[in-house]
Amino acid sequence: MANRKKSSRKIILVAILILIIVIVVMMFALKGMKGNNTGTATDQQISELSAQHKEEQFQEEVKDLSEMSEQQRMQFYCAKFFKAVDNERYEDAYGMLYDEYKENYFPNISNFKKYFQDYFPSDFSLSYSNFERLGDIYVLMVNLSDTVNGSYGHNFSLYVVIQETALNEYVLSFSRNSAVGEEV
Amino acid sequence: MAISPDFKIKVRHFFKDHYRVIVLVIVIALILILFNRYLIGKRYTGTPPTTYRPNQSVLDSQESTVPKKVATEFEDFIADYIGYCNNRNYVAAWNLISEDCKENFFGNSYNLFVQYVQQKFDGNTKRYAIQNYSNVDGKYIYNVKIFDDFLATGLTNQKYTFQEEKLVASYDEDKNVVFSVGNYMGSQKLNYMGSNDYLIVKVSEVIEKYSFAIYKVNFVNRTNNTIVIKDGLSGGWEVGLALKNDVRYALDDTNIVLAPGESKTVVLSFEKFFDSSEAPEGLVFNAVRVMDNYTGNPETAEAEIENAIDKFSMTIAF
Repeated sequence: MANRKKSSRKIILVAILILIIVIVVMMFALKGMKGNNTGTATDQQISELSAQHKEEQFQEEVKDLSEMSEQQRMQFYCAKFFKAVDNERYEDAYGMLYDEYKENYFPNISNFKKYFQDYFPSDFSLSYSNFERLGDIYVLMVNLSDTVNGSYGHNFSLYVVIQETALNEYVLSFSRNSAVGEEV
Repeated sequence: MAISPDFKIKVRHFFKDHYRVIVLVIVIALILILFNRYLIGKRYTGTPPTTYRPNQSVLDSQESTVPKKVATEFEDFIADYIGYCNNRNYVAAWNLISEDCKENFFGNSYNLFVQYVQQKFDGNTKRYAIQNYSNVDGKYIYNVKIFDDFLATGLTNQKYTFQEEKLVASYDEDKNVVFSVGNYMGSQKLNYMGSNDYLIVKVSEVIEKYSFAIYKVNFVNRTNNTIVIKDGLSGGWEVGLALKNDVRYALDDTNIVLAPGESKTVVLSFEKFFDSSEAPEGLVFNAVRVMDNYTGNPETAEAEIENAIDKFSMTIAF
């Protein structure tokens, strides 16, 4: 009787081990199928990889942002927006805009793109002269300097308004006509 | 490698005897795998750390926080109030404020309230920001900033400005949380009196705004002469609110001149912050003149005062 019990336990252990091995093999097989780069990559695979890369970058930024002060975070978001514009990633930058602001000033992305091409210097740097919180929004005064033409170039100040809903999740708007005429 | 028939039989028996357990283990393993994949796929964003503590007083030296019930009700109130004002639903907004505020700040006039709101909400949708300012005598004072929807405009063609006012949450007699707007803090019936052979003075009420105290005062002239309490011609200060270390002069321009036998009720305003630690000690009428001949003419004032029947200072102590 005791021998039979012992043998049963042994078999249970073996069965669990086999199951674990099967599960691990299945997981690796699934991962291998997904990340198989030996053949020609399809568009879907490329887009999946790009999305994965973006997600990883997003998470890294979240980690960095969690250690920043409010002011640093807002400056980070602001810089990210203008970097996207500077690198001509207009779609990314357009996606950061607050919906109602988009409706008011840039109903489509081509307006947005044209605006930056017409009124922004080809190369610029940012500095921040004021930062204020108003409840759940932040107002930044940003000085934009034309780095190519210096003081002879198109230098101006503008307001950037940001609402942060979670780390690295935010919407923003800016004083549209500051680049057109000196309104600030 | 050949597997012994005995082992095969044992395995077969094992699966036959324990298939329920095996299925359960597989199901658990699958759940774990799926849950793990879900966690990997889930975007972690976390709550942004901020220094914003809307329900913690910024003025009180000791850390003072609004009780959770009051804070929650105030947050709901302000969201509804601003929402109604934005949507021009003035009746709903009017119904949110306390009876005391309606009576003593708006004189029970709904139209006055509408005028007040329309002045603040100039047709543009407004946003707001709240910050507990100070907590005094069961009154939780919030500083509320009201401003245009800067996020929707990006401050395009706008100046960065906002309006500020103090709103108060407090308990009424039935322990309900009630709210007042327009820097109105509350009112109190008073019963202070002072008199002499010439004059009876009664202080019957104080209406407190955040930076002003407004006293309702009744004067009775007991003589057959003119009594001048305030006309700006005495050469010094005439009416003041005495604090422990200071006297605040009346801000009103109105003259207080009593004809023989006249009874008159006036309101006198003084600069005094509601959350100031200095309690008022009394009203001082510093240059009361009982005049035989009074013209109110600045050019003859000095001579008239010299010929006054009596001149005295009178304090109504609280």
